[in-house]
Amino acid sequence: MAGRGLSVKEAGMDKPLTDLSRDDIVEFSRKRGEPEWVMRRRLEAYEYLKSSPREPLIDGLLEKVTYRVFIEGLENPILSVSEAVEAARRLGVRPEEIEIIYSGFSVDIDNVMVKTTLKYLKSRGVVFTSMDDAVKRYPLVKDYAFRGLNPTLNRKTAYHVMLWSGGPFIYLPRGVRLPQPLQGVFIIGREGLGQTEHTLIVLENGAELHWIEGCTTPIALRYAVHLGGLEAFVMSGAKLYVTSINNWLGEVHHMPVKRVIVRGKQAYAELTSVAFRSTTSNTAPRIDVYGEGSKATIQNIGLYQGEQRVRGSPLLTLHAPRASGQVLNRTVVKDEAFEEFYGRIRAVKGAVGAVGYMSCNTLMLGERARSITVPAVESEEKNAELSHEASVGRISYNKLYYMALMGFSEEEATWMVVNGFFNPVVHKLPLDVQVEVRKIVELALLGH
Amino acid sequence: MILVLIVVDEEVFINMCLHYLASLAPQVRCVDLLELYDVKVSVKETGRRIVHGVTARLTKPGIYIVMGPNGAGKSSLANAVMGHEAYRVEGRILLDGQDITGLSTAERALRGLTLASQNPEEIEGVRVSEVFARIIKRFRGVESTAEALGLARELLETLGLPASMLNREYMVGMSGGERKKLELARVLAQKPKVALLDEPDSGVDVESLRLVANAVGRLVDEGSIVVLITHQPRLLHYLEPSEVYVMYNGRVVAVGGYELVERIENEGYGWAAQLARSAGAP
Ligand SMILES: Nc1ncnc2c1ncn2[C@@H]1O[C@H](COP(=O)(O)OP(=O)(O)OP(=O)(O)O)[C@@H](O)[C@H]1O
Ligand SMILES: [Mg+2]
Repeated sequence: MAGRGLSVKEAGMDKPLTDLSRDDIVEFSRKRGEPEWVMRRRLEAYEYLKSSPREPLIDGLLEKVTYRVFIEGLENPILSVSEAVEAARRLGVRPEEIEIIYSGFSVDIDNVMVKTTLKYLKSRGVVFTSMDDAVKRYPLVKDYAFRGLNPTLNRKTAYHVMLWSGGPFIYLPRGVRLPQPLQGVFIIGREGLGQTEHTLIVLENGAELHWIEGCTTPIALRYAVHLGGLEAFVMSGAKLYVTSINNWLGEVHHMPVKRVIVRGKQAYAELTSVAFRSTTSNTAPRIDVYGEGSKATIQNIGLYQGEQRVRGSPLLTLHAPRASGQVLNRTVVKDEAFEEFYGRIRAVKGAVGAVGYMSCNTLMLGERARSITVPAVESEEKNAELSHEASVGRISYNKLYYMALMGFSEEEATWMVVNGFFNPVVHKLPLDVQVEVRKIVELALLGH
Repeated sequence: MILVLIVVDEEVFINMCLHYLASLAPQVRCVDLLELYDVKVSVKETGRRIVHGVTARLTKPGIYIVMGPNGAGKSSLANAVMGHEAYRVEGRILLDGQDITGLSTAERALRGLTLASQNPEEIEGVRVSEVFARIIKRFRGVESTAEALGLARELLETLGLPASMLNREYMVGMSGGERKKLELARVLAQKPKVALLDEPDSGVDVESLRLVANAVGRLVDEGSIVVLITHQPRLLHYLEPSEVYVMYNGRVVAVGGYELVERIENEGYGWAAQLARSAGAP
């Protein structure tokens, strides 16, 4: 893996990421050899950040990372290929399926299966490459990149657009359906701002893709921020499933930005996140349904433990007639973890016959865990039907007692109940992911 | 060989004899037994005593019937024997000669004691097949999941339940009768030394009663001591009880044979109330 030739000896490298100048951004973009339009997007983000107020939850975390650490992280991710493979394996990816893209570098693994797959995809007109490469080689990218994740959407998105590097670009031409999921693994290999990868997915009419991304670290990190981004565009009749599994080690602050635009009619988009360890997590996945009769799901399952702080603010917006969708949140909160959930479904004026449903279910383990759920449904269209339900439960003594009659210890019973609790979401995920979720839950609750 | 015994009390003596006999002939299984010595049960929260000193020794496989009017303390005693946290227990409860009062419910279950609950709990999102596979692997030493599921299917069949029930969520949305039958199948899966069955026959239709009786019979055939709490003498048409215990107001007021069932059927519990009063009940 080659460095990008950015010099770290230059003056001013020790300022925090929140204090970058316009010149820094111009230079960052130049050195990456990006086309003008990408630089313009970065500068738009920069201007937006200048003009909007600081947000402690975002700026506060980025202030702790210097420009030097950020650049160094991109240049040498101190991660060997074998470490990367090992980390990926821990996320349940079989070595023969691995194609690793991290911090802007695609690691070439001498792997026959991956090569065969890529060759096959290419023959069908599928593009699967790194974003760094894609912005230079595919004019089409310009029509999509940073239009879903618009740099002026909000502060977190602006930071992402200003600092993004690497990530995959996936394009499926009309009618191409991939029966097997594609997987990507993002690995933070060192302290600092580990990840600003940008994933762009475009599905033409009738295309179908299941994209699984895993995020992890090979070692417990002292401090890292994950500011990855994913945007996707789904045309008529296309189906997109995105599953993200996060399982970080050490002090990792997880604050990705995600947005799917469903442009076409009768299409489907699903954003699933499977959230395990992180120090803090601040996510706000969005799906906008513009296509008539199209559907969408934003769902999350999470097991929060220790002193984890998690804030989830998914937003589903129904813009078109008969658009429909659901927001599902199923989480287990344990130890002293604290979860805040602010799910929202909006039906915009004109979304006649739109249907939205939100369901938030929390299972509390232990007395000190906390959870706040504030679901909101907002309809500007009187002929739309939005509803929500929420529940917070504990595992009753009687259930534990009953399961003890079968010989299950409290730990085993809890583990089974938690698996069952996640099941309504998990059983629809690809088998590999199901197995992985079970393993992670087992590790968290049984310690092996 | 000279065997010197220092006799502490009767049950210790008997146990020592049994274990001594077992050691002489290891191929003969040491008899599994449940013994209660002056067991008193009170509700922790209120301190109210609901079982006032029950002594019983169940020493050979068979069916031990427990009858008594509503509120007599039958379920409470069964749950107290299993170690339910709501109850404070005085006295001694021995399983296979060992005091189990200090053990957790799960530990008791792992030692071969279980209860078919009057209120089985739903386990959302977990299939019957998973529960049964885990139980069968653990209690019957079966290693392969396929084999475990084969046996599970057979146990369901014993109770007239379709194999498709394995794919359902455990107890979720099941009818009263289905629950009773599945619960019995679950107990069978554990191959318990001692099975306490709390009204496995209530809410079960006439024809299914025979299936329930079959399952109880199978438990006994597999060597279990079955303690059957019931209000329905009907079930006993299909079974041959070893002993009948009549409970009234937290006391065992009579122990006998089938004639006690007939007496309850004909006369109700008036006579039992009399006996309870003479035993010191208010
Ligand atoms: N956890 C508890 N808290 C308070 N009271 C209890 C508790 N458990 C049992 N009791 C009381 O103890 C008494 C005996 O109840 P129990 O359920 O053992 O009766 P039973 O013999 O099983 O009756 P039934 O035939 O109706 O099932 C009842 O008065 C009941 O209300
Ligand atoms: Mg009862």
